[in-house]
Amino acid sequence: MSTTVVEAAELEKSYLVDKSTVASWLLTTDHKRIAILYLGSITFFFFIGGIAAAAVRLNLLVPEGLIPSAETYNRLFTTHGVIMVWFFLVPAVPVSLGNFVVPLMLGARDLAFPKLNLISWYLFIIGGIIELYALFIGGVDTGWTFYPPMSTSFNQSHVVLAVIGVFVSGFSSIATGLNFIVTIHRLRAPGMTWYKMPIFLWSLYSTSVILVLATPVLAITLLLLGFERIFRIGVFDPAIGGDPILFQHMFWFYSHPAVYIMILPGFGVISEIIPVFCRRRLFGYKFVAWCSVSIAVISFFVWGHHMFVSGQSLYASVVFSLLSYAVAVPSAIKVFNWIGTMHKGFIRFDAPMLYALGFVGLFTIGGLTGLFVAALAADVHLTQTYFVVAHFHYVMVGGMVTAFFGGLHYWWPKITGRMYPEMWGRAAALIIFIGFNVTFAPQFLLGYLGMPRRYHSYPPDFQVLNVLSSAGATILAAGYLLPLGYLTWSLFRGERAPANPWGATGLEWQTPSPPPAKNFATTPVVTEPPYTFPPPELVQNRV
Amino acid sequence: MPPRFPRLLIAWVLLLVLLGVEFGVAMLSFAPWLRVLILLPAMAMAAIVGIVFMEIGRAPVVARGFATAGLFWLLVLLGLGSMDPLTRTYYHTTVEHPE
Repeated sequence: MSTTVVEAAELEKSYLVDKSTVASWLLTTDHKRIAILYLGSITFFFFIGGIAAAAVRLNLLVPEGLIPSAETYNRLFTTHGVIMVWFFLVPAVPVSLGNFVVPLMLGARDLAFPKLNLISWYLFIIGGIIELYALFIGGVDTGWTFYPPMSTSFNQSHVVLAVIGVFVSGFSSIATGLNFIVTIHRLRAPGMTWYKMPIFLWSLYSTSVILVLATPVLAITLLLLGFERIFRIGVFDPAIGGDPILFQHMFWFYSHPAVYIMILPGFGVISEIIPVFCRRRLFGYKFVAWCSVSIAVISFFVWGHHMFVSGQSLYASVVFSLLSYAVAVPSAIKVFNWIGTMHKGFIRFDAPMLYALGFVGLFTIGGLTGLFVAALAADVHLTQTYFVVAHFHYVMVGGMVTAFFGGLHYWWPKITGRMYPEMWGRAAALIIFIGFNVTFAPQFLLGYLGMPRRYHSYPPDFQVLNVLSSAGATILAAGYLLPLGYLTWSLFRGERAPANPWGATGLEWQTPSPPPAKNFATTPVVTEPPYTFPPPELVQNRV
Repeated sequence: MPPRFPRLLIAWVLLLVLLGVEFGVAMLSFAPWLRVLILLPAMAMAAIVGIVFMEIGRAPVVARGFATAGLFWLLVLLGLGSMDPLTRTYYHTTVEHPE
């Protein structure tokens, strides 16, 4: 991709050992160290949210529910949703993998605003601590969406604290998005035109636009919710002159684009992995790039499809239903382009590629079932059932989390300078894929048969599918714990990683693993488009 | 103290005053055709943010593009969002709260 010379950089200390005091980590402005801080934080939140999910699945093993109190069950699934959505899914890929590789991919020394980057981590942590405090002193029972009047008048749980936690972490999102936008505009290496940028950067750019434009609406919405609860100012509660559907409009104006905040970076990760492990240029590069942008734009036009049975007018529902189909087009184009890239490629089934393959299949199922719930008539039957839970998890967990794990394995040698054990990596990818499907495929059936979500107990007819789902969750949990074990092991015992273990083409692979503190000894110059691999005959000979 | 600090301070105070005006105006009853006036203080606030804080007059093209996109997004929120209340026939009624 470029004519960079990095030998001099190899003489520098890596960013991991450049300074080793605790203060050097907690006050660092190095994007790579901040990425590590974020990675540790989101991993912690992922397992907290996972424990709550395990408790939910445990409860549903028997029809009457294993947890004695339905109230406790409500607080558990809210804990799962709040932590997973706001403190893992939304930030995960941009703040960890994105923070680490964006400047490296651009050939820059850091993000445009390094101090803002550190502040955004502190905001995230402050928001997270407030949230955990709210959840552990009694929790919230409103669900992760905080719908009024449930959240304003009908419960005694710690809504205000929980909302403040999300509110504060929102500023972290805005700061990160702003930083990425300015960095991508201003700090591209010489020769790196927009069409020479890796797709991951296009994805993060589109994500950042959503973060910057949509998150303030969420902040205002949550602020109004808090004001209403504390000062009894009528905004959303009909008892004091408010409109609860107004809350849903404002909430989903952010939260539907937020679905793409979560999944677009995942698209970017997959677009990096597939060409490398197929040794082929990304099929339809420009289409994939512009599809990210168009998804970001269209995502703002479809929020009303979450509100078909809320009391929203039928006319609005019809329009939102039609608009919702539009967002499927660029998503489908991406899937076709990934398959087109694999076609006649020299595919290597290393762990990142296994995750990428899993992503394509699971996201496609998640996306297609999204069309079902976007259809007005079908949604009246399916909404608030386990069908929606399954659809959401196929997109978010089967899609985004799988992509996150794929990206983590792909860039792990670059981040840590160590190779993970490949056999364990492949085993974990397979276990996660199997566990995920056993957990969530039965939920499509449960939902279609009419089992509502967020219920503490259920009719005995649904037990077989619920037991199957809980059994799958056990497999899934084992799959997620495996990488925690072998990746930690690899930090100490893993084989030393070369600069470019996968034979990839991006600039991040042209600096040592782990990179030096300043990333590059000399400013890279980009001369070729991304994903320029050797001619097929050379690849064939090598394989 | 930065040279532009007094200007920024005045703009900030003005924003707070306009917020108060907006809050007060929201309490008043207007004839339906005059309700658009409620938007005026908010529009003035947006203008102050754009002109004084963002210095949009001197900003590069990309920054102006983002500022315009912000207004476009607001238009989407208000435009698509008003589609529902303008055509809705059912409104929630007041409910009794549990003590």
